[in-house]
Amino acid sequence: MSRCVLRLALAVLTAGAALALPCAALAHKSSDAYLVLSADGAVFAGHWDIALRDLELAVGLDANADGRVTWGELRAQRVAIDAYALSHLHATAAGEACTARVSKHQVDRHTDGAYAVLELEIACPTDAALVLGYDLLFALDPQHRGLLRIEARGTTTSAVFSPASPRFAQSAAPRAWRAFADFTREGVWHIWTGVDHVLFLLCLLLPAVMQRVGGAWRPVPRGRDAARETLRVVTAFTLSHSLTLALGALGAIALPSRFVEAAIAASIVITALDNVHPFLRAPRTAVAFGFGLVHGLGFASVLTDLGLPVASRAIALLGFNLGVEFGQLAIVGVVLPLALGLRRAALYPPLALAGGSLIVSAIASVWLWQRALGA
Amino acid sequence: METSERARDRVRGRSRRQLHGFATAAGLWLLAAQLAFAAPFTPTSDDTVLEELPTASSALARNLAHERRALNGSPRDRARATALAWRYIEAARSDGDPRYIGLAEGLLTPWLASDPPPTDVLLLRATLRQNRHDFSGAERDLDALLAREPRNAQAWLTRAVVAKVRGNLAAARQSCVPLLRLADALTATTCLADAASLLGQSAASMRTLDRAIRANPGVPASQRQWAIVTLAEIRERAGDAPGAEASYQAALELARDSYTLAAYADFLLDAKRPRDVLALLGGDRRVDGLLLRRALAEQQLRAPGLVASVRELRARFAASRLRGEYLHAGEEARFALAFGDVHAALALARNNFALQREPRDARVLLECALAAREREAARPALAVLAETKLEDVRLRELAARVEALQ
Repeated sequence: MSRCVLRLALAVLTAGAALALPCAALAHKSSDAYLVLSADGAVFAGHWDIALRDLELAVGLDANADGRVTWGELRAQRVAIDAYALSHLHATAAGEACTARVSKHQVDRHTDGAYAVLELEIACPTDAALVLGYDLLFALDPQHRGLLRIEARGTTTSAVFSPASPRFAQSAAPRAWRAFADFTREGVWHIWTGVDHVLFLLCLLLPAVMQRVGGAWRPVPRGRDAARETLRVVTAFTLSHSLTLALGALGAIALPSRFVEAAIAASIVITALDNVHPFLRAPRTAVAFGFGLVHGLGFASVLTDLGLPVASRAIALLGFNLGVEFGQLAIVGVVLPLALGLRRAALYPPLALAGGSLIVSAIASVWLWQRALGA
Repeated sequence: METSERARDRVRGRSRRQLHGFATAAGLWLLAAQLAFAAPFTPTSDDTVLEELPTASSALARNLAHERRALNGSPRDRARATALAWRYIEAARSDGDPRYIGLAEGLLTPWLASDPPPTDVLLLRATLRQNRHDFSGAERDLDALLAREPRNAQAWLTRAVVAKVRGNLAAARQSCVPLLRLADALTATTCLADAASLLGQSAASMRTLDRAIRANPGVPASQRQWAIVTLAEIRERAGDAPGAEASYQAALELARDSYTLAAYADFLLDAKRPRDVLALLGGDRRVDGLLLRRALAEQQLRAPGLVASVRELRARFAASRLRGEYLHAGEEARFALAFGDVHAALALARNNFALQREPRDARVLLECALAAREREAARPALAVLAETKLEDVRLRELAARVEALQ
């Protein structure tokens, strides 16, 4: 590597045109090509890196035969390269041919030298499982390997194409119940590991066992009333976030995720401060409903990131939503009995309610700062 | 999506992959993402040189490219195709570039479909399989070939080499015997002396081989070089350092191929002469095995280039792993032992020894077992040492230290 740096530095000093003089023959290694794809429905986008040494062998690049391949020589062979490459990659979905095209060329360096980067788009007639047949270079060099990485439906799969195994079949879309179970688990997991949602719930739960009498917090005398108030607040939150989750996941609402994330942080700050010093005029149920709309959009963006299977979109959405509610219920199940038990303690209002809310608002303010500024 | 959201994504991503059993693949790809998939770029000028082809600097590569173009007109000309395939194999050996092995194999395609393939093609395929460490495949081809052509000297020789690499020393010696009548005296003697030296007859082997080298000055350089390198290795194992060094230097005067350079570099590393290793290897960093020796020398010297060499080697081993290949497990074990993880090194050395059982393979297994303090792991190597009465000063000393482990 140090030799590369040296050569680059020398090149810069001596001649401007030779700015990117290659670090001659980095490593000796067998021929590999790298095929990287990621799925968006029935369209796969990505890139295919093929060594210039291999392209020289297969289509010829070094037009002036000086042993050096320039960007100009590579560009001149673009049509031949694309035709050669695409004739050795066959994509089908459900038995129907997909169309592949190369949108542009770039260059990249791997351990053994420079590669042409073919930006690739494969459009299939359906989003059924993709089947790839690959025989690039095998006729010239049976030791060539095609290293495939494919991202689809939230998982990354890798495979190695060789003359003995020239075919890759994506595993079929998970069956509906399987998608349901997967997404339910994701929903639970999302709530439990998403600190911001847990903190927002805490802000709603902590004061539910108390009531304001003449400017001071008093414990709700009957536990049953406190539980009923909790139920109302949590139900309002659930209804509203389920609504926006569905609308967001199905594409009916689309807001920039940074805005949504910042709004979620703001909702926590406001609710927490309201616990310390009430200033929101609306009843708690209305607050939970209003802010729940924002949290639902946050859930939706997670679901979109996971990649909703097109075929079983409704089932996945339902599973995720139920998972979120289940995860939320478990948190309520832990916090509510604690709050009920402690609500009569003299230190509950200053320590748990005010103190806890202050800490939460401090944390959420930092998030708000970071998310709003994109820091 | 900021901090907490990202962290959550990572956690979730991790659990998903584990759940789906893709943890290993994902780890590899993560590595690949860092190493192999750097940022693509668009050159600014048509004059930007992207790649220097081997033909720019090597007359051998130019000749090969020329012959290949000549062959393109008549790809089914078997005599020409096999001749070029042999030249590719020769180039792979001298240059250390495995791409030539693939190209040689590609030339044989038209005849590999017929069953059985012609014997000249079988011999090439066996050689290529040996090169790719498919030893049982190579032996199958050689046995099939020798059943049809029992007087094929090259086939007997290759069979002896494959048997030796796998640690079947008696079989190796047996395959050398026909060479006494089918090949020249130096080739037969080298083959026999190599096997015999590993079976406890170092002194006699050295004497005979030394005499044969002196008695046959006229043989082609490649045969002569093989004989001299073999003598150097026997002398080194027997503890005759000055004799070994003289032979290594004599061999390098005939050809500076990767194998001989690596063997001599190892000799110098053992002698704690890292500066001589760097002088020997010059500026060429292309061959992984030689880059490994350079890094080991830089380690002894605590030289500033060490960091770059280690980083480069790590990237190359990772790249080879992506192909699903463990061709150089022995070398990778040495690398891991010197620069990384003792337990990974031991695992690699064990895998390697299951396939290859030459003294250097035994040595890396013993060294890794010693470093990991796992005597049981070294059992296969210790068993081979006990079985073969191999005379190798360093190996014996290492074995004693492994045996002494609690």
